[in-house]
Amino acid sequence: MFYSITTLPRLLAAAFILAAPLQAALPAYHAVKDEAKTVNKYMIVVWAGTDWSPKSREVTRAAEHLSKSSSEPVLWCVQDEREEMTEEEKKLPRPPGAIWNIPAIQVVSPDGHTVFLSEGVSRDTLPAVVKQAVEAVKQQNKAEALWEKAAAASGANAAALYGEGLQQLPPYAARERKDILEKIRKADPGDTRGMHFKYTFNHLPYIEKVQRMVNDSAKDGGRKDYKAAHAYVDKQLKIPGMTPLQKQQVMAARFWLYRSEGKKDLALKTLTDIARISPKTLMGVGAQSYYRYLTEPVTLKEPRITGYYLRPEMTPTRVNIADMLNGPGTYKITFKMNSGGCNIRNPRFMRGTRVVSELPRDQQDKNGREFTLRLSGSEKPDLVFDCQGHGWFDVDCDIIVTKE
Amino acid sequence: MNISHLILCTSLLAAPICAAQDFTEPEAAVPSAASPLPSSMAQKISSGDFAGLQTEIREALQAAGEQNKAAQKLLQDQKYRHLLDIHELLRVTGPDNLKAVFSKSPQDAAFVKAFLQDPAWMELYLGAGLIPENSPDGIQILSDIWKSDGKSPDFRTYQSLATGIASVFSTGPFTGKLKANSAKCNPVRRYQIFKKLHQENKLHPGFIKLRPWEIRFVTGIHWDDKSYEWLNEHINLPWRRYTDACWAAPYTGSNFFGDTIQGPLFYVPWRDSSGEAENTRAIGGVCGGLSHFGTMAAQAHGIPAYPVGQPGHCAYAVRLKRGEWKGGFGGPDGGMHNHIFGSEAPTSYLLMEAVFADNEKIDRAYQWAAQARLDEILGNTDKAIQSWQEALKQTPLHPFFRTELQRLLLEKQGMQPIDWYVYAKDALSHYKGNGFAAFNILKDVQNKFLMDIPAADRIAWFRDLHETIAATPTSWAVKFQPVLDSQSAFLTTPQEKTAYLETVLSTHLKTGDGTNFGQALEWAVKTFVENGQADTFSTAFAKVAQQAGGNGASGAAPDPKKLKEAYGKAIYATEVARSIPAFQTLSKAASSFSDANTSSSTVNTPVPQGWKLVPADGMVRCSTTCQWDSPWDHINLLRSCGGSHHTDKETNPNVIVELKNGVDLAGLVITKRNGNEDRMKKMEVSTSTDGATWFPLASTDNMPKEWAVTAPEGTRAKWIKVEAKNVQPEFMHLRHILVYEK
Repeated sequence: MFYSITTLPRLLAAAFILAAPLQAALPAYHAVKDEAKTVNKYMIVVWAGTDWSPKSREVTRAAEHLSKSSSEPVLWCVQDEREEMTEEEKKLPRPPGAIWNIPAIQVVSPDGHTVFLSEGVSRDTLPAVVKQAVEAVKQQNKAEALWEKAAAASGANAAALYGEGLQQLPPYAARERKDILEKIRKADPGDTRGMHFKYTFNHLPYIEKVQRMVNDSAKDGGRKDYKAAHAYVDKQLKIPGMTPLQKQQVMAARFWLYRSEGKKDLALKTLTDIARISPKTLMGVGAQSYYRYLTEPVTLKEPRITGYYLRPEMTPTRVNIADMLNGPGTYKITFKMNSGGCNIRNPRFMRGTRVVSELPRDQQDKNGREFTLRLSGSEKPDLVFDCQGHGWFDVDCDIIVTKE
Repeated sequence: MNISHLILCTSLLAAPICAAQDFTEPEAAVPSAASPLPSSMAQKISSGDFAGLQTEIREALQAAGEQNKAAQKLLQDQKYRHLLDIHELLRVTGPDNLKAVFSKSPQDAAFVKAFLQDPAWMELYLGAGLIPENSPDGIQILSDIWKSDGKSPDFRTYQSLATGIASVFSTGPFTGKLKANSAKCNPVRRYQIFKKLHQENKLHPGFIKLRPWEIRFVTGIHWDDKSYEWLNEHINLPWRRYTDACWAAPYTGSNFFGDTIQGPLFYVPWRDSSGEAENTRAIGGVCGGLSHFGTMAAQAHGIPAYPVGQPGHCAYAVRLKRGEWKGGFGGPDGGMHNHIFGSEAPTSYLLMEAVFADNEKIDRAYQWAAQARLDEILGNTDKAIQSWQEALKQTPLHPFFRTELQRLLLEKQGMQPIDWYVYAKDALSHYKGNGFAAFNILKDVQNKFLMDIPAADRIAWFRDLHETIAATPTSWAVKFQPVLDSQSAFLTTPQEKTAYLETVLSTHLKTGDGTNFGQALEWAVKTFVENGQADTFSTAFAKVAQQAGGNGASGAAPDPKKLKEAYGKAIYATEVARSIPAFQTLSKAASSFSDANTSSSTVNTPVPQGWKLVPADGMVRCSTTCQWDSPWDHINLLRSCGGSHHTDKETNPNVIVELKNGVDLAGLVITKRNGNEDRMKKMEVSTSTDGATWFPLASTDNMPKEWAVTAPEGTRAKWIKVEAKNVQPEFMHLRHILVYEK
């Protein structure tokens, strides 16, 4: 009796194990990284969080499945960023770089460099991402071949070959190759091919440097010197091989210089030039939007001004006040500041571009909160006024029009 | 006769019980916990006669109360509770305001009917933490949410979410900003986003259990609604790591067009193309933007979080478990941007967590609060006092409830100083771990008795209060000086002042992490030393030093060894409290304990021309101390003569130099103390302009005995951190951190 009770479950368990598909879990990154170095293989790392992210569990399972059917000479592994990890687990070697959107797929070279990274991967996007990852390995191999050639060359030619190698990599991976960048710097100290610049240029410190050049020039109480800064920007723009985005970023410093000098037209033209280079980059989109912001009149959606509608310069601002008009008469226009403030002047009633009623000329340049306008006909014009923000553009202002 | 029966039997309630259809308009959800209301009340609701309803309910409740004196029993009756909930809702909202919502549209009317039929929901709303100060807005928001989702079969699952959103959008510190940004911050949209994310299993598992007071910390940021979706999609980390999420965005003071973050134009070029979170990720920001980003990233996953202001900095805090707030970007301490009972973290959130810790108790407490308000309206002050006391039995620390109780006790008159003293002592006994809350709530009460009791009892009362404060977790951000200012106003003679100071210093020297002690020292320096009463300070300090050895005040001259030890603790406490004036004063007072010859130099490294040594008028903060430390010599780390410090064993021991003013940094010379130099190998130096955001300046894998660091052009710094990067915990002891400016 006893025999039969214990044997049956065993037999069932054995049958189940034999019938189930092989589900070998991916090894951990820290367990394969040394092997990768030894056998000179790239690693496809699945970043997961199996105890907190349902999506991660799906992606990991799918990646396990893909790894089995893949014939690529890579090592698959997982970096499981679990919620519950021991201090020892947290200290284990991790793949390079910071990941903010798990699950992610990363390709790490045998010597520990990031070759490819795609964050926020889903089960649906995984096959395409893995395809890109495998392609990135091939690109990396091309880069390695170019770097071998570069090692045999010298001077600017060597730098160009190193740069060409970097070009095979995704930009974020290329920038991290400090070892290759150092070789470029040594081979071509003058950076005549612009290769060092291309992969080390950081636009924020750059624009801050330009700003500092101007501000420091007036440190001792003198006038600000814009010439040197303009010359610096012009020189940067001549560096060969810049990407369109880099060109836009360098030109943004020119925009800042013109704006600080008060050369508004040239500043606006620079924005147009930036947008023209590549309208869809972050810089291109920003330049177009900024141009509109600085040049176009404002239309309020309701008789209320908030910071969103303020501009740094006096800007015509229009609002439909038909609900508050009631035939001919004298109207009191009140800008009721609920919080913050802004400069307001020259209110007028307008139909399209035609001025229906306005203040006497000598009052049009006076800022105020309350104004009086006469309306002679029964038409319902818009209210237009000039408005300018100050400080943090923090304002909440109701526009109240009452017939006196 | 039970209470329900009683209510139904009053003349007002003689009419037959309303038919179910009175409350189940086609668009109204049927509340599962609904108790049928008497038809006359139902008719008043249907006709929007809320003033009449209020009168009728009040009379019914009064009649029930007269028949059955035991409020405890009344509150156990569902029907009584239902009427009490409606009464309280009408009280906080106002009949006219409720009518305004009701009259807006048939759907709004249907909501009001459904809401008034749902006591559980009303109680969620009334107990949402903050008093619904702006209930008309809150009710309208609830109505809007109900109109969009009230018909869903799972609406009840999300009632807490809806109620919390109504609370945060109508009452509290974020309301104004949410309103000002109303085009992008819409409560209904926000409700839908969170419901959808929850249904898609994309939120922390604890989200659905959050109560409305906690939902405030999940849904109440004034950034655009879509940023919640964007962050849920694009920032995904283990829950514990949301304290780092701020670093997904770059730290920068200028945007791509050179506009400063300290102005309104920084995000302008992209504001119409992307949401605020996406823009912050792409363009960056400084501590304010990054902390809001980190806060919202946690919130977007259903995790409570708040941004927090600090001097010259902004940080944030994230909560994974009730009561456990973890800091991001230098949080959780400081001025909480979102809060319920005060904004000083950690004491304010500790109080909040203590008050709301037990769901059942807090629910009962709010029922008693509704009863107390009814009692007061009915003119029965004694009964109202009893009801408040019952509410406080459930949650003794609720500041609004205790304020109400104390108000009634004051209004009632007849309490003698001794009665107040007894009341205060009893109240204080509940505040262990929340000493600052005790001070705040009892500061008016103590005015009623302090000048009427003997001086010795006065000091004893202060000691009790300080012992409670000393046992309260605190931080540099919690200001202790108001306590001391307020109490010292009751001291009349120099002897009393000395006794008071001695009590304060000895209490906080014995207990706590040194923060209060440091702040008390700062206060004492400002109040006594800088006002020509240095003797008072010295006498008190000497007595404290004597007691610190365990012998108590003997009246003999202080033992120099004990005095040195006390100064050591005191100076280290000023470092914990981040008080430059106290650090300076005590370092000066303790200078005789140092062997340093301040007129000599012990540095061999040549200093480049043009470098100027920054004077030692700031402070030094060591990460830890130990028995070999000599805090009276910390200040000399900043002088050429050299000083000394000695941390405990740590993986990353560090010393932070806080300069009096920010400087254009030229460089540093850092030297090791003689002996055991090999303990300090891998070292890193970083700088900061806000005391929280650190920029690496230099690092070495093998620090030389004298390490000279040249700062790159344009380096500004007010704080400099020298940190060891050990694999295993190790001591750190330096001799110099000489800071040079240009």
